[in-house]
Amino acid sequence: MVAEAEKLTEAIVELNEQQAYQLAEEMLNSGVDPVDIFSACKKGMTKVGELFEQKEYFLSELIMAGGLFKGIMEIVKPKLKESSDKFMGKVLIGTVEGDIHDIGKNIVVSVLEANGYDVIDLGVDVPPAKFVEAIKEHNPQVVGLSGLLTEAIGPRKETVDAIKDAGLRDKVKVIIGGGVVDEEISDYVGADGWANDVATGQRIIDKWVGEADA
Amino acid sequence: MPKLDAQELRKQKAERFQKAIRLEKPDRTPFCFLLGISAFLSNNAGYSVADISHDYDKFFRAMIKFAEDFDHDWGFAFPGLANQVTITFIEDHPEIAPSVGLMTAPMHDILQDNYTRWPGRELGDDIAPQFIGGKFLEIDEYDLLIEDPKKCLNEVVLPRAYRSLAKPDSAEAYGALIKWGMEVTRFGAAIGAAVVELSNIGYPQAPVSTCNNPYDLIADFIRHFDNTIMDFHRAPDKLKQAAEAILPFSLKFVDISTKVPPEMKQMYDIESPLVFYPLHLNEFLHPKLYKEYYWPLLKKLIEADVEAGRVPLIFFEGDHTPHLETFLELPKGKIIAYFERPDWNEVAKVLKGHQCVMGALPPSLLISGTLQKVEDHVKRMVDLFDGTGFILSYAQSSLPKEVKAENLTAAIEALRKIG
Repeated sequence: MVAEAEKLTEAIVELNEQQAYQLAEEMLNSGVDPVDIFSACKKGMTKVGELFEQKEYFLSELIMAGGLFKGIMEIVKPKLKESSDKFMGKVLIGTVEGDIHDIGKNIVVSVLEANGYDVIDLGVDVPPAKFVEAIKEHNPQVVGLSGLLTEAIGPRKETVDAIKDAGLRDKVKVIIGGGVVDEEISDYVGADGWANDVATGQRIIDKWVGEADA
Repeated sequence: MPKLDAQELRKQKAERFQKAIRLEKPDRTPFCFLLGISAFLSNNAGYSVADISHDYDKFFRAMIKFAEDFDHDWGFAFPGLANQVTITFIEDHPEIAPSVGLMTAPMHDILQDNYTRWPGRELGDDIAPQFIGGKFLEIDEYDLLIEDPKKCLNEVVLPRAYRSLAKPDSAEAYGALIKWGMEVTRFGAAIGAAVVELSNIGYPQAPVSTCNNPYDLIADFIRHFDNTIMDFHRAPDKLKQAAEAILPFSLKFVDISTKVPPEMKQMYDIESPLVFYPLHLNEFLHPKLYKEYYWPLLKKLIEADVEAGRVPLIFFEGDHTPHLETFLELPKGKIIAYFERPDWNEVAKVLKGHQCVMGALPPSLLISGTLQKVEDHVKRMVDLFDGTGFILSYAQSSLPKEVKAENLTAAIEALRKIG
């Protein structure tokens, strides 16, 4: 079965959709522990992430791998006995109010999930109050504010302000993501970090979560 | 300095703009705007985003006020979002095809399209309209598109994409089509009036058209963005054949929509038509996919433009840096390469002396930069290109409400100071 798991990892890295689904289903049917299937997929996604960082893969490959990972998880997840202590950390994410784009956010969600994070995805056009409410309910370590439009800069700031007003700012690290963000926007918004690409974003989140655990 | 009249101003600005394209040194670096519906535009004129979305007169009043308040050398703003799904109309109805290539809020109300979301409708009053696209053709239906793009787009995709045309033979559909036609007439008249007004305040005019790379047309209007990205892996041959089947329509669309009747020629200070290509998939594609699929079709469109004396104004969304080398395949000084957020040092390294580039004013600078920072940035960018083959412009087609007016003025003053 180890060989099968390795093949599954490889199929994901090579974006071989048909083979990956076939292997995952065969493994499930032959009684392989879903946890092992999950970790084979995770391993594949980690490798895809590395290839992305090395510029061997681009967003086209990341989206393809993300779709593949999500598809396999839909089959495997119902059979996984979840236990939250296995997660790297908890991230709350959403596209801020007034922006209904989700391509970037979805890439981040799939990469973080594949890297062992418990990700709570609030979707698009998320008002500041909903972020505050979700922080209270889920107690995440990191809050990710996504957006594509230049118009989504203001709402990021309003969301950080609302988190501050609710007295929750010290409890979470805030990262902003999207094409238009940079150091100045991060300062303007009052975030702790920013990223234009998923690899940088994940590195920042890994560092924060690692520091918190240390 | 004596004040120039509108005609002299237009001449001066047109020369500045055209010299930049030809890679000659203009008297100073031109500053241009190419915007859509955005909050700064509306708020600057005392309107909400919903106001200018639903009322063409208000939109163009806001555009004229913006053009007056902030002195640019060329510019236009479009009160809508792309609607290239109608591209095949060019064969049977060339006179209306360019006008239906844009979806405005009133047209959205009539057609109930699934592509776009609007302020005062699906979105709040002060939120910019947004294009979200959708999937209106399944992966196993590619052959329909490959075999007959016109039939497929009009008989399969349109009824799925426009809710008002869901039942093509119905009274709802006929009524919607008639209303759409009336709206297109109103829209055309409003654009015509705006062009005259812009001209009267000293802005040079050029014939302008818009077109998509067929791959973007498939991603935005037919298969949905994510699906199209996956189709590069799942069904690459079908995707390629479909894009190639659409290309003849794109070429024809540009050709016909930029033809200027002789009696209209005197209206234009810039003779070469500008063809705007907003690219979408570019940033997402692996250079291998870009070179094998996307670039060959874009190159064909560009070459056809150059051949016909048109100037392609290509907006490279996102970070286009990995694909810069492909520009070297093009003849020098024939296009405007408009970048959103590339590595500008790399752009200068590869493209300086080869193609005119445009952009370089990021929203962060306009929102939170100091006046000094704006001046320093503008100077650095002009210097990077030695004041040649560079047009300063906004990084996106949208200016949010947080943009500081004084920062825009600072950018303009910096250009005047630098020369």
